[in-house]
Amino acid sequence: MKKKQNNSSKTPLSTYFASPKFDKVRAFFHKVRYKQVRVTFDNGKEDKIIEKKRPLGVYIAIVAIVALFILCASFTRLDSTVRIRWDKIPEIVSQLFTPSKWSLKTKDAWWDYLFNVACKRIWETVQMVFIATVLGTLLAVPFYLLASNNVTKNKPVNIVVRVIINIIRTIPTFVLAIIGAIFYGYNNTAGIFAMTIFTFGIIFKLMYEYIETQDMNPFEVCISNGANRLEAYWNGLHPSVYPMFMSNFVYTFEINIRASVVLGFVGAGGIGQLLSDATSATQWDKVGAILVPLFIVVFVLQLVSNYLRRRVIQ
Amino acid sequence: MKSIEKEAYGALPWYKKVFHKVIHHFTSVEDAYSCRPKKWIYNLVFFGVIVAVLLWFSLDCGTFEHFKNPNWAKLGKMMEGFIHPDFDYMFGANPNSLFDFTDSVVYQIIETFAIAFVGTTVASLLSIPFGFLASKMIVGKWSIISEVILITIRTFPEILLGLILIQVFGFGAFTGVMVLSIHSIGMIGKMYAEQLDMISKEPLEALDAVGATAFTRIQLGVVPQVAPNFLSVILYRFDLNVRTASLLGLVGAGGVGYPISIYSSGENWSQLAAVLYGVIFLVIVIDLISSALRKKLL
Repeated sequence: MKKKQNNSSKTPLSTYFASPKFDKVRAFFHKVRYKQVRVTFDNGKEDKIIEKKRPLGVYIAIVAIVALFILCASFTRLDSTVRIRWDKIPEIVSQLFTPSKWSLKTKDAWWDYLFNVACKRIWETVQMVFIATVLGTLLAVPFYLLASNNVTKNKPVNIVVRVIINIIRTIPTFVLAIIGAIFYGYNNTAGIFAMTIFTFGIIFKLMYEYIETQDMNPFEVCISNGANRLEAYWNGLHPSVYPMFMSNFVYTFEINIRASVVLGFVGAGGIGQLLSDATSATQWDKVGAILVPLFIVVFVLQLVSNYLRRRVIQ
Repeated sequence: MKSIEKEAYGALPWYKKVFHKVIHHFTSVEDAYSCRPKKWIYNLVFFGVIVAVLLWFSLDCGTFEHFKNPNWAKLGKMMEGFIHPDFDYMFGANPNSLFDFTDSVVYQIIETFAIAFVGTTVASLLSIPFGFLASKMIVGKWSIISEVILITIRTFPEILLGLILIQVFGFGAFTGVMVLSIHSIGMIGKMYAEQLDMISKEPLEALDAVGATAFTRIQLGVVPQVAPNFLSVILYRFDLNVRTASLLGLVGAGGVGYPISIYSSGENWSQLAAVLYGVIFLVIVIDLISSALRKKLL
C-alpha cells in the first residue's frame, strides 16, 4: 500500500523563516519583543540577565489612540484659535434669573411663569414618561422571553428576535421622535411613541441578558412536574427575575425623563418644546424659570431611583 | 378537617390574615397550602394602580385623540424619501459644485465621530480625580462632596449645556467637544468610583507588608485590578456619546444634528433619509465595535 503524502511537495512557510538566512531578522524581532533586565542579588551571586516580554499590544493601542485623538482634534478644529469668551458665562447665568424687559417684565411674572407654565409642562412630561415606560416595559416582556435561550430553547427564534430588536435599539431616540412627529403630528403622542420604543429596547436587552445568567433548577422542577414553559417561567424563574425587572423599570423611567428634554427640540412635546421655544426667541429668563423645576425633578428622581434600585437588588 | 392551628388562624383579624405571614405547625400539606400567604392580592392591587394611573395620564395628555388619527399621507411621503435617499448629498457629489465634500453626510458623520472621540477621551482623563475622590474606600466619608458634584453634572441636560456653551465657544464642533467632555464626567466618574470600591484589599496589604511607597501601591495594587473595568466604562460611554454628539447639532454644536433639524422642519425627505441612514450606520458600527471590545476586556 502506498501511504498518503501530506502536501510534502509544498514546503510550509515556517521552514523558510527557520533557515539561517533569517537569523538576523529573527534576532531583531526577538529584541523588539523581549526586554533584557539585569538582576543583582544581595548574597554576592553573579548578576543574571532575564528576558522580559514587552507588552507590545498595549504600546500599539496607545500609539493608535493618540494618533486618532490628534486626527479627530484637527477635525474638530481644537487647534485653531477659537475666540473663547469666558466673560459670557456670568452674564448668561445672571440673565437666567433676572427678568428682561423683552419677555417677563417683572420678578412676579417670572415666579408666575415658573409655577403656572413650567411646572404644568413638567407634570405633563412626567405623565408622558410614565405612559411610555409602562407601555414599553409591557411590550418587551414577550420578546425577552423569546430571546433568552434558556426559556425558549429554539436557536433560530432567539437569533431572529435578537437581531431585529438590536437593530431597532440602535436608532437614536430623537430620530424616533422625528418619525413620531411626522406620523402623529407635533404633540405629546410623538414623544410617547419615541420613548416607548426606546424603553422597549433597553428593557429587552437588560432582561434577556439577566435571565440567561439565572439558576435554572426551579424552572426544570416546574417542567418535570408537568407545567408548560410559560407556567414554569411564572413560578420558577419570575420570582428571581422580578427584583431586577422592577429595578430596570425605575432606571428606564429616570433615563426617559432626561431624554424627554431632548425630544422637545425636534417637536415631540413635553418640557423640551417649551425650552426650545424660549431659546429660539433668546428669552433667557424663561429658560431659567424652566430650568429650576426641571433640575429639581430630575435630581429628586435620580436620588429616588438610586435608593430604590439599591433596596430592590439587595 | 379542622385543626387547632386553623382555628387559631381563623381567630386573627382580617388584615393579619391578608398581610402577615402566619407561621404554624400544620397537620397536612393541604392544610398548609390552604393558609398560604395571599400574594396575588398585592399583585392585583399593584397592577390595578398602574393601569388606573396609565388611563388617567393618557386621558390627561390627550394621547388617544392623536393616536387614533395618524397622518398616513405624510408618512407615505417620508417612506418614499427613505426608499430613494439623496446619494449625491450623502457622498458629497453636488451637481452644482464639483465636489462639495464638507457639506456631505460622510463629512458630518466623521465630524460627529471626532466630537465623540475627543470628548470621551478628555472626559475620561478629567474624571479620574473625581472618581478617586468619590470612592468611599479611598477618601472615607468626605466622598459625599465629589458624589454631589457628579450627580449635579449628570442632572444638567446636555442640550442645555450646549445652549449655554455656544455663547462662550461659538457655533461649531469645538462646543460639542466641550459639552461632551463636561457632561460625561458625571457618569464616568460615578462608575470609576464604583469600580474602585469593589477592588480587593489583599494585594494592597501585601504591598504594605513589603514596604512599598504610595506610588508603587497604586501602580501595582490598584491599577491592574481596575484598568480593564475603567476601559470598559470608557468604551460604554463612548457608545453613548456618539448618540449624544449626533443630537448636539440640533442646537448648533457641530456634527450631524444640524442638517437633521433643518431637513426635518423643511420636509426634505430624501436628504433627511440620507442623513438618518448615516447616523444609524455610525451608531450600529460603534455599538458593535464597543461591545466586541468590552467582551474581550472582561
